[in-house]
Amino acid sequence: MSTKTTSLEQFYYDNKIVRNFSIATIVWGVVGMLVGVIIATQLFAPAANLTQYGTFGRLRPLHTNAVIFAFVGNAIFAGVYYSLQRLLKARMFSDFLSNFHFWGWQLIIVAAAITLPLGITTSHEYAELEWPIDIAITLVWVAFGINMFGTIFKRRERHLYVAIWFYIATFITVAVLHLTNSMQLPISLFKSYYVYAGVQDALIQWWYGHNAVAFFLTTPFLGLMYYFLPKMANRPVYSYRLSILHFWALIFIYIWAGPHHLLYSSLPDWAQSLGVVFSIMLIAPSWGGMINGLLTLRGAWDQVRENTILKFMVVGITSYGMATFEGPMLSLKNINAIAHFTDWIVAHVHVGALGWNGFLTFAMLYWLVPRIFQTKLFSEKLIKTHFWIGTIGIALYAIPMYISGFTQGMMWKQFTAEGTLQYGNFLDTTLQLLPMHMMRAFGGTLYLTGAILMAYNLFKTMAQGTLLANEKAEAAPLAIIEEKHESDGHWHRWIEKRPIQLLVASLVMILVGSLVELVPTFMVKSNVPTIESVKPYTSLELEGRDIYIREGCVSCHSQLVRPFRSETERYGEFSKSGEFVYDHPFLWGSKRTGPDLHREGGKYPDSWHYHHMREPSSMSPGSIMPTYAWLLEQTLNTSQTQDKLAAMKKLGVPYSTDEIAHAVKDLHTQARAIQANLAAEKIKVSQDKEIIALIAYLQRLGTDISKK
Amino acid sequence: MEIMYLMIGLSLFMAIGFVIAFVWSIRTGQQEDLITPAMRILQDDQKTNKL
Amino acid sequence: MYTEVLEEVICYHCGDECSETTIIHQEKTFCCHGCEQVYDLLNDNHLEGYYNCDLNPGISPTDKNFDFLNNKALRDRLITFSNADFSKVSFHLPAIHCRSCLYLLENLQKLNPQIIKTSLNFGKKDLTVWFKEDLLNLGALATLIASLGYEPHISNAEEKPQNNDQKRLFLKLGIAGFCAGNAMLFSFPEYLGIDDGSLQALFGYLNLALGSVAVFYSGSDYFSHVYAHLKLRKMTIEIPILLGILVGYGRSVFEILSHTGAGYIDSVSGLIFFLLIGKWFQQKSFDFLSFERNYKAYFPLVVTKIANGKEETAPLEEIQVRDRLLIRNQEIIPADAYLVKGQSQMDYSFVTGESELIPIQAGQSIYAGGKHLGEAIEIQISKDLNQSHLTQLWEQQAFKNPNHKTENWENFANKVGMYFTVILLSLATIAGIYWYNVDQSRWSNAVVSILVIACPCALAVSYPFALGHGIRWLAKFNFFIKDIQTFERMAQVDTLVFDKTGTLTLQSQQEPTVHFNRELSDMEWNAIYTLVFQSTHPLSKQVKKFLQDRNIIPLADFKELRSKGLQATFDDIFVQIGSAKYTLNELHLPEGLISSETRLFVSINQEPIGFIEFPWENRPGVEGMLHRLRQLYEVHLISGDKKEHAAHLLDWFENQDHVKFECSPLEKMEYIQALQKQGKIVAMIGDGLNDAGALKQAAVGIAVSDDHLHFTPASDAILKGSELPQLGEYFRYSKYGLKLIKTSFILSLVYNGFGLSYAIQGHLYPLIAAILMPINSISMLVIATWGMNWKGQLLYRSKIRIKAE
Repeated sequence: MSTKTTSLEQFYYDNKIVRNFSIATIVWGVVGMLVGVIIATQLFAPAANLTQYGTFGRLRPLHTNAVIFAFVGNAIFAGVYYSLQRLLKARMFSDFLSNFHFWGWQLIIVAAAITLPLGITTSHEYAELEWPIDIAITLVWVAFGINMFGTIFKRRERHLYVAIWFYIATFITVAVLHLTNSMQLPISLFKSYYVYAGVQDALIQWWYGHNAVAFFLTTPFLGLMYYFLPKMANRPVYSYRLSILHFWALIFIYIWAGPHHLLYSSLPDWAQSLGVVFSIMLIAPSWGGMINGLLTLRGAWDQVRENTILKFMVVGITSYGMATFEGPMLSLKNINAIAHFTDWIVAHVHVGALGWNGFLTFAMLYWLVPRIFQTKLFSEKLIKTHFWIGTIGIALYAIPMYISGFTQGMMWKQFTAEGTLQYGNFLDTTLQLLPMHMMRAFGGTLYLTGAILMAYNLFKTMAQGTLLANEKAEAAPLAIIEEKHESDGHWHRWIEKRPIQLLVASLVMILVGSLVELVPTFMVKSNVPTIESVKPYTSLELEGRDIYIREGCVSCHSQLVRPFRSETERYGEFSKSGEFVYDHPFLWGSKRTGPDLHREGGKYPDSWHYHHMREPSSMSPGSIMPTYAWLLEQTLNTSQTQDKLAAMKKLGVPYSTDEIAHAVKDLHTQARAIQANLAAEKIKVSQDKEIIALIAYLQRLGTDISKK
Repeated sequence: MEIMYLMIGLSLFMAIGFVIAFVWSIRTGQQEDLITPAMRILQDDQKTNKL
Repeated sequence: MYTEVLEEVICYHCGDECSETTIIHQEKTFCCHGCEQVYDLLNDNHLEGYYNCDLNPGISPTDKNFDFLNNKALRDRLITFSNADFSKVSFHLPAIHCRSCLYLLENLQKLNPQIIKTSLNFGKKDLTVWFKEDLLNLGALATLIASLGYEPHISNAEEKPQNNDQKRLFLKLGIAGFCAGNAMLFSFPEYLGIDDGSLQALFGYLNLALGSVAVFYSGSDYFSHVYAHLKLRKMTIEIPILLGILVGYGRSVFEILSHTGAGYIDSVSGLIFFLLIGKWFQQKSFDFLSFERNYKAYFPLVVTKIANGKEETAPLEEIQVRDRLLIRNQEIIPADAYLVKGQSQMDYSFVTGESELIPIQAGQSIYAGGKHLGEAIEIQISKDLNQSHLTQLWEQQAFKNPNHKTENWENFANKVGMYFTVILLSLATIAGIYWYNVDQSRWSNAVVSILVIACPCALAVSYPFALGHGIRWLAKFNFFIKDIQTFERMAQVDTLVFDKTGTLTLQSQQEPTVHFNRELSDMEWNAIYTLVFQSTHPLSKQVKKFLQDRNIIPLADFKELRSKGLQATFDDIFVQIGSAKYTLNELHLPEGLISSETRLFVSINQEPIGFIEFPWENRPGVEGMLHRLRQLYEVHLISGDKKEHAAHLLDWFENQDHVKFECSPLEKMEYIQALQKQGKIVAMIGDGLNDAGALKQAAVGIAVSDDHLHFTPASDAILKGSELPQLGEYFRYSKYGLKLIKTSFILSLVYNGFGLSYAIQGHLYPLIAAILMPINSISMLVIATWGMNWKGQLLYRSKIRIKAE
């Protein structure tokens, strides 16, 4: 033992990047939740819609994006960068890539925070960002991938811990999903149309939507759970075998469960039922994770009593269990019939987001920040307070929303003895729910307060400690024990090589994946049953539609009449898939804060819409819809009208060449007609205002099939 | 519904990708010892956490 | 520094109670210097983390030296890989028990820089070490590890871990799961009434691809097994299963290619998936045990050879006839030889089962396996190890043919499989013929669905699950069973044969108690000691142990009277030891106490002094066990020992022809054979090498072991000595297991009946099949699991209760 020349390699974990992502998580978390509270308020106090940049329609996507991609996203990266290095006994592959990843991601978020209030959106839920940002996301994501696989490649620990498998799955799947759902045909820097239309677009969107939840909000967090929970409790995971098992089960099934978001839509029945069946099958693997997590704490409940961080974990994991049980239930057709389009869904996603993602993230930060700052947590008292405020917040959020959702669903279906709708006026149902919405806003505020407490607590902790930017560690490299000899050496080297091959494979998959998808979409001759009378939108209607998209009307108004008596009674004939063939993108929506608009066309005179947009309550007293007065002022921008039609033509919408040539001319002709109608009602408005286009679109909605 | 082909294509594509990963992990004995790894991750900060 | 402490003190390192002396070092107490040194060693190398993850995790170390591993032959056997930079070796360390062990053993390179890397497999308790052999030799490495308390267990017989089959099974299982899941996905549109023809076709082809993989890759074992059985003209449950699979698959291929339907792909691949789950579940392996140990394992790895005057260590393999060996006290004779120098008390109990020591004089021959007691002796090898007296046993048929136990033994599943196939085929033919005449369009569908739906998958699932759970539960009770076939054979056993020495009886550990009517002088004690030293009677052996610190004194006119006792004169005193009658003690004692078996009576100068009482020799609890077993089984006792040494047991074997004494290992084996000739299904319970033959011959050979379950002869099951009293309960558990399987099987028949009622009518829709089959398999799985666990729980609780009492 005289010569201390050990084989151990010394190296340093990069804690700086972890700190950066942690701070980003905290900041964006607070911002995202704040926006959440604001839009929650808007749902009972329309006055809270300040200026055209602050309406619910524009802020809601900001909230979802901020929370999902900024808060949860950064949390994932913080956790991955912390655990990956330690699990693999290696520093991240490249500090440059790490920083590129970090700053790139923050830029994307900033870009989102700017563009969404400006009404620059594609209207695909959780994918609203326009194509330039989509490309940026792709770049950053690939950088992340290279960084991760690079680290795996130079690892010093042969076994890939289960968490890493979850990370890998996340990376590959999200990449493919993102590409698939971002297939847009750009018109200008800030405007594009989806290449898919109607039903097909809807299917892609919800295949993405579902799997975004699966692979952005679930798999990475399961990975984090499998690393941080044992660490926090200082005991190995209950059953490692089970964790491996349920990983593969989850991976093999999750990918299929998309279509359950489109039950009773114009999607073919068998496709819908397929979604249901596989959603049900998901319970098993999902609960595998929960059970494993909770059982890990088996016999450590005394610890849980003392340790607030573990409390956060317990609540988080339990919420996961609830959400993953509720999900499949919601995909059952008869439950879905009630729950869909209501607050129930909102409750469901928030149990997952606030409980599972939120609390796990909090626990992780509370555990991790003091460690990398080599100090104790600033205040135990504050963390305890945070836990209780947060938990109560979730309860006060979820319970009212469940009640509200159920009430709403029932009221919509409520018939009188005479067989007429009990609440024929949609507004009645909305007003019923205001108290719930207020309570929800309160619960949300509590949760936000908790997050702010955490921010204070953690920043104080950072202040009192000093960041251990590069944490010393040592381990023997795998390479030096590589058995370099003919017979049995090869498979060892195979192991070492594999990560690179995996990386390459995943990239190839993404590329081929995107190719595979381009092929059919460019030679689309949809066999969606076309309806003779369904014609493309006129140039004015198309512009109107784009305003509808810009203002995010879709976040409160669905455009899908489901085949229920209650709905046909209320809105008119149920929607046929053939009616949407020219909808790039589809605008079915997922929530009915206001009534469905698919059969809006011709219901009211133009003047009604005019006044309604100016001051909704003037037409329907008590309405919680914000005013859109600016539509009356702003001049419609027709500079791109022609390009838009041309683009649509490219995507298979049968515009004739001179329709495109005369696009603007036609637009004005139709506008003047509407102006005339309004004038008849003593409304003076010039024909080049945006309101005209919007009215034109609304009046066209769902009218084609009734044309003979 | 051409879109179906696309989705099935993609999903299958990913699924197969995962199967390959699975085969690799078994072949290379990644899943041979399913007891020690769970304990091993607790080793690095052994010194810090007292029981 | 030393201090005497009164209250009980726990060693900071190993957690043992520090008995007499306690070492206080850095405010910590240690039970011995070994522990203290390990503690220092760890501290000096900043490994104090060792003490963090568990309280007093250490094991008090051995100072055993492993330099003999440096011997070329041994070294080459142990080192699995070596090149210029490093060598790789794997040690089995039975002492591994907690996370601290993992921490310490994976930080070895901190203790010695020549160690490059270590990797521990906690389940197998194997440590793999990569080290610079040119700077640190194997012996030193092993010694270092032992000095930490983890003494490597180096076995003589190469035990190569074979996990490739495991891997292959995992692969097949995973793939099957994937195929089944996705096949289901692609089949649903069919059930849900898909309208889109082109998609339908696509799904069909995808299904076909998946199905083919499932059947021909995941299910490949079934083909090979069935083929093997058919070659031997033997029936197996796998035949009807494979039949179902193939027919279902074939039909699917036809339907899909002819666009006439979706086929049964989902059911078929699902079935394969479930079957493989069963397969995977049944192969529970106890990596830390070895069921295949032959005599070699008991011999020293190295022996001390005397070549031209000087001693040198040589591995056993290199020993040849006419080599001279030095055998120290307590060492084992490696091969038949004759004594050259010195004299020995040879203890053959392990090889022959007789408890008397055999005195050996120079020139007499000694047999391999005997344990030498006394001064170091020199022997000369007379026979090569492999032809030695002891090893003849391993020339027997039972050993030659590894699977003789399963050869002419039909397990339940296969028995059923036979009837099943016959009934199934006839049913199918009848239905086929019927429909062929009644309705041409239906006959094929009828036949197919009969064969698919009625395939006995349920049995094939419940069988491994029930038995697998059985094995797992018994393992919880330190009763380790080799495989599920053994577990099933246990259920069929009707005759139990026990070995005596080491199984039912133990070399008693407690001190004897002295009942003398007066204090004896040292002189008198020495006299008694000297006297017993002349005798080989087991009691004498124990007195020797008891009085070992006395010394031999000159004696005159020594006399040994068979089955009476010994006597001799020492200067002026005349001492007699032996039976009460012989020592005239009986007059002074009530009748009942005069059993000579456990008392040694003493009289001095014809004056009765009293007796030394030796504790009962039976393993605690065996009487109760034998009593209970007698109700259910035919119980036998065979021993290499003399009858008189088993008096205290005989009462439990009422029937005299159920006991046999003084039988050699070979005779024991023949005894079992004889019973088997009478059509009995025999379980042998034994411990030593002398039982190896019997264990091998019996339908179930259970080896009883006390020391870390390590030294056990080849057997089907290993039972921890302390668990022996519960043996009966364990046998009953196995019976219960088989009952459970049969019940679940009946139940599945009901299912099948239901399915068949459709099938025979020729309209079983794939959907029904697809639903019926998984339900069937899953419910079987649940029943088996739940049933076995329930009973296991009961067993567990009752054990707790017994422990408490």
